[in-house]
Amino acid sequence: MTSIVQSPNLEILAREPEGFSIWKGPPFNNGQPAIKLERVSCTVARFSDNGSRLMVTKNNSVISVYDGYSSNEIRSFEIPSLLGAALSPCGTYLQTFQKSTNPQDKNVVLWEIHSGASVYQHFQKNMTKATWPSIQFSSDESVACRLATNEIQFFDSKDFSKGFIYRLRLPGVAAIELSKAPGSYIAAFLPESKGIPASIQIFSSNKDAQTQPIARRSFFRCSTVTMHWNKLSSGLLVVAQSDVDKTNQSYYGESKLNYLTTDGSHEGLVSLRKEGPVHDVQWSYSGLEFAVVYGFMPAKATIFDKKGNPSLELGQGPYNTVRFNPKGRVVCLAGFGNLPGDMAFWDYKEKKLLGTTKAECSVTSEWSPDGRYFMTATTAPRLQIDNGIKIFHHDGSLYFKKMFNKLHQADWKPETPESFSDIDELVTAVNTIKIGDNEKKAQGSKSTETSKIPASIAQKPAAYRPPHAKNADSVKAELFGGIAPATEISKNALRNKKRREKQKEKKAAESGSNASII
Amino acid sequence: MQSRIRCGLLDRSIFRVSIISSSKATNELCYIVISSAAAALDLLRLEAKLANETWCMSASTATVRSSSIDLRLGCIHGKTFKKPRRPYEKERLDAELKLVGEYGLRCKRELWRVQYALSRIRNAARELLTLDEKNPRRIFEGEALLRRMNRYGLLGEGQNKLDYVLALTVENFLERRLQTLVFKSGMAKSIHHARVLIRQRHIRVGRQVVNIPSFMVRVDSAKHIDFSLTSPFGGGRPGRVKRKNQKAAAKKAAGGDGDEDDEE
Repeated sequence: MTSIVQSPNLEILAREPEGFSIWKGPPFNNGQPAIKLERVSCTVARFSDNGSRLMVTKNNSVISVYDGYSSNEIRSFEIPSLLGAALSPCGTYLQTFQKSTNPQDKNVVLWEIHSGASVYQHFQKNMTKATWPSIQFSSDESVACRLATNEIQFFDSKDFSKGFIYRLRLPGVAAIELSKAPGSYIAAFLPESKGIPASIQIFSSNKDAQTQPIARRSFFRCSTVTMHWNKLSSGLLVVAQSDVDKTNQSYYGESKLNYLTTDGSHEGLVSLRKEGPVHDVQWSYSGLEFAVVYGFMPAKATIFDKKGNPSLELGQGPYNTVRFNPKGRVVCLAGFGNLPGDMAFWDYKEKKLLGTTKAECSVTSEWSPDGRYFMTATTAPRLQIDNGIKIFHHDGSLYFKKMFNKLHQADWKPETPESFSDIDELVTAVNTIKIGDNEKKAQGSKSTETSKIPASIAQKPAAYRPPHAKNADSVKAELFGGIAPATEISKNALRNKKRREKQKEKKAAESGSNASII
Repeated sequence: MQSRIRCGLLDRSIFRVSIISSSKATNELCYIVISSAAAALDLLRLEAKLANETWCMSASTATVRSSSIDLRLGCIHGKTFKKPRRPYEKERLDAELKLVGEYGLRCKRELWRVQYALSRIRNAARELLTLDEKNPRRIFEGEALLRRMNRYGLLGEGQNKLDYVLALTVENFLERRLQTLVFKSGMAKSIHHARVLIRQRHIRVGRQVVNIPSFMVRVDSAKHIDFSLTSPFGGGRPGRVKRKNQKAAAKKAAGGDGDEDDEE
């Protein structure tokens, strides 16, 4: 099968204190990445969601927008007392937040990048994680909406000068999340007030279908909420966190995972089999399953299907992060943050462990858009030493490593996963994983990591059992469902057993003969 | 057609008559208000003629004795709890108080009730374990007992042997009450709030509104615990007090200069 369109190249953005630079992504020639764009001094650099635009903030009042492919500067904006900026998903608009002194000042401005003109502005008092970016777009920019007090305002994304075209009144709404692809639903969170429980409600983005919520879920004991839509906009995962744990099990509060579907098939808690907080939850790139890492350490990881039933248990371990491969099939379980950095790569279609490795002190981790590489980075505001980038293959072997004096950010340039071909070598490699592969990997890699052979071939040294504990062991095996080991009977015991059986046979023969006589 | 009449004297003048016909398994219950005992006797004699049964009556009250009548209605009653042997043992009192507080129980009797149920189950398991392994009774009753324990979530999936039943504790049972599950799933602010919500008919399991805090929730029903559809928490109309306040506020806003004397 020949494809005429060339798959796009991968690119990596690395930002240091002096500025950012873009490298040509893997595969690297002779072990070093080629530099695509030399260092440009900046404070913030971020790609738009589809990778077509790059926004760079220079020395606090100038924003430049670069083209994502050619890395040429398209437009530059001069904005005094800038506090934050965000690009829209397709790169058409730029939102900026300026510090404002009086309510008359409209300090959130929406600029159109192509023309450089401002199309919409409004006043917002302060900027928090839940309320920035103020104007949310769907992935194709067909729906745009904003959270205002007690209502959600919808805009026409082609023409912002009309202001909002319709609105949805929800007294007390505190956070919204627009579904990304397609943008047909909006989820709203209303916190608890005066005896009424907190609730999550899903409404349709259409003006006409907005009288009743499509789905709702109420609960108490929740102070913040993070909402995750899936790719097909059919399911919403909600992690409800509270700062105080009323069940008295943890000092850090509790978190619960709720799952709501837009067709109404599931509206409730996801039943997790271990107590403890929900560390991480991610949808797969196809939108049909999600993975949850939950429980007190060592945490359990499970993949659920879109009905909310568990489809695969990935075991327990020191993990608190899960990352799905954009091309499907592989999932990486990792323990970053305060955990030592163990990473396990699983193929969840074949239900096999591909490899494990360690990446200590990593802060961020992300799969490449083509799914072949996994990059972890140790970045500066969190960790001041050992900053660097490590790139792994999909099975855990290290591919590239570079240390920096100080690194602030390391990102892949976003691309749609469909523009890359499937990973053929992954398909063949998974089927042929043997001990031979393990040796090849051990020769090729440089740094110290342990790649585990699949469990069926693993040999552990047998534990020493003192002679008097043999009895207890066999009883334990029986009690816990194992088969009683027949090979551990001693010679004397074997002899006695034979004698008893012979006696039994004799008795049976006698009684048989008696019966026949009578 | 033979029909049996079950009859219990609820009150001097009201007889509860239930007619079971043996040909099909229908059970009709009808309340008949009768003015006097004599009329009752006539009614019963009529029925007896149809049914070919004999009745003997006494003069003052119409007590009916016949071979086919089940007089046990209203008398079937067994004890569900056992009082502890030593009334003032300090450790037992402390432990019980801790459990009562943790699970929001109303009184010690609720705890003793669970302990009694647990002890009966353990006795059954213990007695089955003394039987031979291939004994059909042990197999049949053991499987039934384990199935019930699994169904109510008291034993996990891997624990499918009678020995695990002997290791059950009171906490396993108390964790499966509807009151603790409503609290644990985040639908109530505290364990006492959960009891109030259940009792005030805000909680449903599946489609059924459950009013009983000690409802033992099965494993497959556990994910269907939700606010009921008629409850104000679950999308129904607001409650009585709120509606009254809203009406008063609307009235005040509309007729602000009018008379407000009947506003209490």
